[in-house]
Formats: sequence, structure tokens, C-alpha cells
Amino acid sequence: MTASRDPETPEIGAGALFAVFLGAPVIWAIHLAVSYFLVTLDCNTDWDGARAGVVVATVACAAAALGVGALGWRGWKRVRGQMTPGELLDPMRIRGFLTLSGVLMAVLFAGAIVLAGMSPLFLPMCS
Amino acid sequence: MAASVAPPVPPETLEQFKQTWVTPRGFLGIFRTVNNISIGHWYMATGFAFFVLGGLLGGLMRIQLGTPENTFLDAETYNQIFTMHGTTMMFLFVIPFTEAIANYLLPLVLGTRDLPFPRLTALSYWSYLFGGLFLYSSFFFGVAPDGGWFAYVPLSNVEYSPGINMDFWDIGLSVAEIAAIGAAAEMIVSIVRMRAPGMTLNRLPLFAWAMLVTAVMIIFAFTPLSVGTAMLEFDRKGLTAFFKPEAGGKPLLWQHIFWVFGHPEVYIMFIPAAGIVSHVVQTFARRPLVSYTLMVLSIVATGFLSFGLWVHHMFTTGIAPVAMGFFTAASLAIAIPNGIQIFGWIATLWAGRPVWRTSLLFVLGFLVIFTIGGITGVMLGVVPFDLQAHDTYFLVAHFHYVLIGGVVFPLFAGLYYWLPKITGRLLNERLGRWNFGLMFVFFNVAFFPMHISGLLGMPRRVYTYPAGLGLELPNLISTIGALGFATGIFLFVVNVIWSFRRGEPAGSNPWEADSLEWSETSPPPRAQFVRLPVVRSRHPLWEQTDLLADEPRLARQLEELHAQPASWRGSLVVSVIDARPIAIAHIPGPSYAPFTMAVAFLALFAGLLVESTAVIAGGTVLVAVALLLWFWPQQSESRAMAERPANAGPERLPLAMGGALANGWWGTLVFLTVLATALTAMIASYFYLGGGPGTAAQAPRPLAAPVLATILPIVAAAAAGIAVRGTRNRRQGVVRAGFAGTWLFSAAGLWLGIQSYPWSTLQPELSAYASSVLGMLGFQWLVSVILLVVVTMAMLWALRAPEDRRGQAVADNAGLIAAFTAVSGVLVFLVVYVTPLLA
Repeated sequence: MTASRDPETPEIGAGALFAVFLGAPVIWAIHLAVSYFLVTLDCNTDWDGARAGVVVATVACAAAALGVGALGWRGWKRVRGQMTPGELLDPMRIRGFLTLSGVLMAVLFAGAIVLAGMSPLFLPMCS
Repeated sequence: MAASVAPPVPPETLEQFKQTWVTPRGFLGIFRTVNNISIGHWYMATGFAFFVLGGLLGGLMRIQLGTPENTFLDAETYNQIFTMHGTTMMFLFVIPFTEAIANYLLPLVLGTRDLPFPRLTALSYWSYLFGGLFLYSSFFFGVAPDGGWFAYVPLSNVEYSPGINMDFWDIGLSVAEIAAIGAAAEMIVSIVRMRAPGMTLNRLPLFAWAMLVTAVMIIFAFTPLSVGTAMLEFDRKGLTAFFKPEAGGKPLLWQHIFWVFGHPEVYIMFIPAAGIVSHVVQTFARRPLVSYTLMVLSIVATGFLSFGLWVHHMFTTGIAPVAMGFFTAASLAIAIPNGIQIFGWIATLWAGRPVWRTSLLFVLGFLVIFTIGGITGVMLGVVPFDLQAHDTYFLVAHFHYVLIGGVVFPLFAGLYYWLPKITGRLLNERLGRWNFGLMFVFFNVAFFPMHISGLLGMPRRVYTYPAGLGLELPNLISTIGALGFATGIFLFVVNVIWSFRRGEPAGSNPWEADSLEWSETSPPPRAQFVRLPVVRSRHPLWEQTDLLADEPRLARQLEELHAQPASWRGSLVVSVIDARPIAIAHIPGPSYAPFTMAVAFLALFAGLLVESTAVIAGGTVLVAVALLLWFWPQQSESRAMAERPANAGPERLPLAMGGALANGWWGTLVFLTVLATALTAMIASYFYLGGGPGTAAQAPRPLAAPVLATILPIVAAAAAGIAVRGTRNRRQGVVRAGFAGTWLFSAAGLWLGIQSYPWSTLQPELSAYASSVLGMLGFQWLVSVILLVVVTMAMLWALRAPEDRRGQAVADNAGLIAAFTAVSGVLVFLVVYVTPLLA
């Protein structure tokens, strides 16, 4: 029933697969929330560190999203050679799909994070 | 390929199996029906009826605007009509209609026998119907909602909308929201858990992917709207002051809440349409979709990005420029996944051998119109342009291009595609082409001139305009176009009637399509998939020689489900990622409970509208009756379930009776996600209204009683944990004692929480801060009441049917809700009592 798999290769669990698949979009959402919060704080209090804060959040979140993508790439490389064509319930094929998808998602959402994070470089903060 | 031919089963077994799934007959049977096919018929018919009603309202608007200074409608009537037009199309047509299609088709597309919670399907339908009728009943009293489908405050506050018009909107919408969220929970569990063996996530049909993403989006988008509409209604009743500036409230809070729902809503409507388009394109292009993986990713990415766009509806409200930049970035980024999908469909048609049936023509119309709407959407996502075009007819043109082009055209494509499956008869192709041609041409005649009238400065939401501003011609053309568009839709109705009377029999697969629904007869039987199909490909009817298992173990497992179970409704549960068979789920049968519950909701909400304690009390009693009907242990079914077929081997699948195996457990997780989202919306509102650090002087005190009220639910959760373990070990004494403890500790926590609130000093009607505090505490009390109800049901099972294994699922759900109540109690305590102490 299962594909012929290298017994030395550790299994990628369901949690890890979904983390790779959805990690980058979740990081993007966190970046948006944190950035918006920082700007709101800056514009409504005496604190004026939003510009730097957004840049730091952007670098950190973009790096984290790309990190998820890198994990996905590692997972993809690990499983792609183990797929069995035509195998009814080949566990490797779906794992390949999710890990490769995670890579593509990471690229898209890292781009979206950087695009949003550039705002403080060009736009006035509050007025 | 042809669908598999199932080996014969004994006729008496087959007959019993069919009888088990039969829809109740007779007039009273209507109110007991829970089957997805019957409910799907009603849902679609009701949705289409609301579409026609909404369209008629739109027609009236266009007649009024056809000439300047027209007196066909007065301002008040026009306000009611444009409010109800938007409300109908958004809440009563598009979303319910796509959910109706999903209700009907998902089990067929996924290769399973029904949705996991058929009673929830029925409750969703009846709630939707009653909510819609409730809203429309306002016309009979001349008090239809008139504050716009967006209900901006302060316009919709009681000071500026003093009648009950906006109460109708608020309350009617709440009933419809229940329907949407219920249907979403149903779809999530269905797609995640109930698929054909082998239908791994990378073989999931794109319509199912689209509905999965849509359903998740509904949970996260509709829940804040429910919170917002409740806040608005409480404000209108004078109980709270969330949006009242004189009490520290903020009207902009409403806009944030509404658009956190409103923009994802656009994609909640578009993504299912995209799923439909994918099926139509690959069927009529006669080849698999180009880049399935990218199409799936586009759907998922669109779902996420759509939650980062809401502020682009608020660019003119004084948002900080940098913050606007964030949302502009997301507005531009979402064009990438949408563009990928558009190119994917075009590439598929390019690489295939397209057969230009009516369905595909509608897709072509969609591609043209939606692309134009998408481009104007990107224009509006750019702040300087938006500042100019905001609240003009340019925007009206844009969103009609997106919604009619991006949703209505694909829905018509879907209807022409799937109606032969649903009715068993083909539609008339010639009439269909006229239908498409009229709709496509007159859509553009109606809505393209609105770009021009908008750029000329015509504001939206006005009932008339003066002559001499250059607006006469574009408006007249728009009105002519709207009437022509309506003619196109009328032709569709004619075509459906023609099809019923003279349409050729469709056969099981008239389009030679690839997905599983086409392996069943047209129309499909109520007892779907006597033999459950096995999937080895993304396109099983194209690439598999049969739908039978070719592995001995899988074949043995499925043999147990061949026309089985015959005496109760059951279907297969599979693992989330790999779609491996893991259990057999019990699917609840016909019941009056959903209908009773929907009536109870209607009574409750009507009671709120007319402020009648008696009606509200009656509704509450009816809710209790419905709950008892819903959860009452039916021992006949329990006995039948104990009679499992004896022909299974050692790999026999277990019954999905408890823990993560049970669909109910997953459904409860979705329900808790709804609650968590609601709590998040309320906490965000609290901070937005100025709560949190630095508000120690206002914060409710003393702390002793609230601390105890927070600890008691934790103790209750521990007692529930003991009871749940007791059900596993079949120690009935422990179960009863554990749940009794849960009930008592929860009730004590609830009582103490209510008692300890400083009602005299922290009055919600006078202070937005107090409103937001009471909102969070009230949420916690509501969750405690829900826990008490569920624990009562678990006790009922423990007392009445201690040996019935289905009681395990009820107990597990009570345990989950108890744990959630404890966690949310701690969170609310931290926010309300601790954050004010921070500097």
C-alpha cells in the first residue's frame, strides 16, 4: 500500500506539512497586523518608532517567510525522489505537493511583505 | 471512461439501503428532510428567487435614474430599494446560492453519501429562508432597511435612522449569518474528512478546494460581522455606546468591522465562482487544467490576501498614509494570484480543443468582464485615484464588473454545466446562446457607461441628479442596458422551463467530464454511491478504467460499505492529507429539530425587533425543545448500529464515535474557531475604543470575585476532563459526577461573573469603554451558557443511553467546550482586569 521508501528518511508529519504550506501566509498576516499596530501607536501616542519598527518587522517576517520556503524546499527534495508513479495512496506524492506549494507560497508572500514594508520608506507617517 | 459497474448486492439489502436514505414524504416530511439533495434543490430555488427579487429592485433603481430629476421613486423609497438591492444580492443570493450548489454537489464531487451534519444543512436552509423572509417582510410595513447594505454609523444609529428599518436589517442579517456560518462548518468538515479513498489533497477537485477556502473565509469574515451587527443593534436599543462619539465610541470602528468582513466577502463570492470556472474550462477544453498546483495556490493565497485589503475601502477616512500603503500593497499583490488563475484558464483553453457550449461561453464572458473589473479594482487600490473616484459611479461600475462578471457569469456557467446533472435533462443550447449573448452585451451596455458617469462626478447612492451635467446619456444607456440584461435572465428561466418539459435526457455524463459527480445517474439518487468510489487520479473519469479498489486491503474495507450500512446512514471517513479510510461515520437522519430551531431563532429575533419579552421567552423555550429533539438519544438507531456486518476481516474500520475520529469533534473545533474569532473581534474593539494600558481608573473593581469567576471554569474544565475519561473507560459513576461538577462549577462561575460586574458605576449605555468591557464579559457568560447546555446534553446521554457509543462524541464535545470556556475566561480576565494596570 505505501510507496517503497527509504527507511532512513524521517517521516514528515501532518503538522509540519501544514506549517510549510500555510506558514508564509500566516507570517504575512502577522506582519500586516504588527505594522498596522505600530503605525497606529505612533500616530496616537508620543512614541515615534514606527518607521524603524516596520522596517525591522519587514526584514524579520520576510526572512521568516523565506525560511519556511527553505524548509519546504528541503522537504520537497527529500520526497520527490521517493514518489511512486501510479501508487494509489502514495504518501510521498501529496507530501511533495504540499512542500512545493509551501515554497511557492513563501516566494509570493515574502514579496507581499516586502512590498508592504516599503511604505515607510516613501510615505509620510501620520499626516 | 465509463464508471465502474458494481458487482451485484442482494436486492433486499439494496432496497433496505435505499429506504434508509429516502427523503420523508408528504407535507410534514418537508420539515423533517435533511438530505443534501432535497435541501440543495430548495436552497438553489430560494437563492434564485432572491436573485430575481434583488434584480427587480435594481431595475426599479435604473428606471428612477434613467432620466434626470425623475419622480418615479421618492428619496425614502429609493433608499430602501438600494439598501435591499445590495443586501439581497450580497447576503441572500450570491453566498447562499454558492452554498446551495456546494450542499448539493460536494458529496457527489467528493464521492461520499451526504454532508457530515445533515441537520445543520437543514438548519442553515431554514434560517436562511426565514432570515430572508423576515427582511423582505419589512416592505409590507413600509419600513424596509434604508441605511445602505453597509449600514454605516452614525447614519444607521437610532438618532439618524429612528424607525425599525435598520433593526430589520440588523436582525434579519443575523439569522442569515447563522445560515452562512453553519453551512461553512458543514463544508469544512465534509471536504477535510469525507472524501473518496485516494482523493488526496493534491487530487481534490478545484471546486472542492475553492469551497474549502471559502468556508474558512466565511468563518473568519462573517463572525466579526455577527459581532458588529450585535453591537450596532445593542447601540440602537440604547443598551450600549460602541459607536456613539459622545460616549467615547467611534463610528470608524463600525467601518473597520464591516470591511474586515466586506472585502473578504468579495472573494467569498469570487472563489467558488473560480472553482466552477475551473471545472467548466477543463471539461470543455477537453484537457486537464494547466498547472493544477498553481491554481490551488492561487485560491489559497487569494483567501489570505483578501483579509489584508479592508482598509482600501476606508482610504478617505483619515487613515495614516503609511498604513494606507500597507493595504495598497496587498491590493496590488492580490492581482498576482488572480492573474495566475486567469492565465491558467486561458492557457487551458489555448492548449485544449474547446467545445463552445453555452457554459463555456459564460466563462468567456466572465474572463472578459472580470478582467476589466479587476483592472479598475487595481486602479481603485491606488490611493490618489481612489480619493478621486471614491463614492462615485465609477466604483459602482467597478464592483458590478467584479460581481456580475466574476460571480454571476460563472454561476450561470455552473448552472448550464450542472443543471443537466440536477434535473436529468439538457437545456436548450440555442436559447442558452441567446441567454448568454443578451446578458453579455447588455451587461456592458448597462455598466460600462457608469465608469463615465462616475468620472463625470456622479455620486453613488443618490436618488436623482440635475439635468445639464452631462449625466443624462450615460444614465439612459445604463437603464436600457439593465432592462436588456433582465431579458437575458428571463430567457434563462424560459430555458429551464423548456428543459423540464422538452429537454433531452442528460444521461449520467453528458459533457464527458472528469469528476465523480458524473459517475452517478442524472438526477442522482438520494442514496448516493451505493459502492463508494476509489480515486487514483485528479481526473478519475478520464484516467481510470474503473472506480473500484485495486488493493486487497482497501477493497475489503470498502466492501463493508457496499450498500452498507443498510439500516442506518453511514459513510466513510478518511485521513485529512492522504485520504486513507479510517472510520465509518454515522450520518444523522430526518428530524424536526432543524426546522424547530430555525423557527425558534426567528421568534427570538422577532421578539428582539418588537421588544416583546413574551415572544423572546417563547423563542427560548422553543430553542430548548429543538435542542432536545436534536440531541435525544434514539436507541433504535443505536441497536441498528450495533449490528455491523460480519463479513469484515481484521482490518475492519471502526465507527467514528469519539475523539478526532468523529466528525462532531471536528465540527466542534470549527465552532470554537467561530467563538475565538468573535472574542478576537471584541478584544480588538476594546483596544480600538481606548481600553487597555492606562485605564486603571475606569477598570472594574474589586478583583476578588472576578478572580474566582475565572478559576471556576478552569475547575469545571478539569471536571469535564474526568467525565470524558470516564466515558472512555465506561465508568458511568465517574461520568455523571464529572459532568455534574462541570455544570455546577460553570453555573457558579457564571453567576459570580454576572454578580461581580459593577452595574451601577460602569454603565454600558453611557460609556463605550464600559460597552466593550461588558461585551467581552458578556461573551464569556454566553460561552458559559453554551457549555451548560452541552453538558446538560452529555448528562442526558449518560443517563438515558449509557451504553450507546455515540454518547462519547457528545461528551468529547462538552470537554472541548469546557476547555475553551476556561481559556477564554482567563483571556477575558487578563484583558479586562490586568491590561489596564499596565503603564
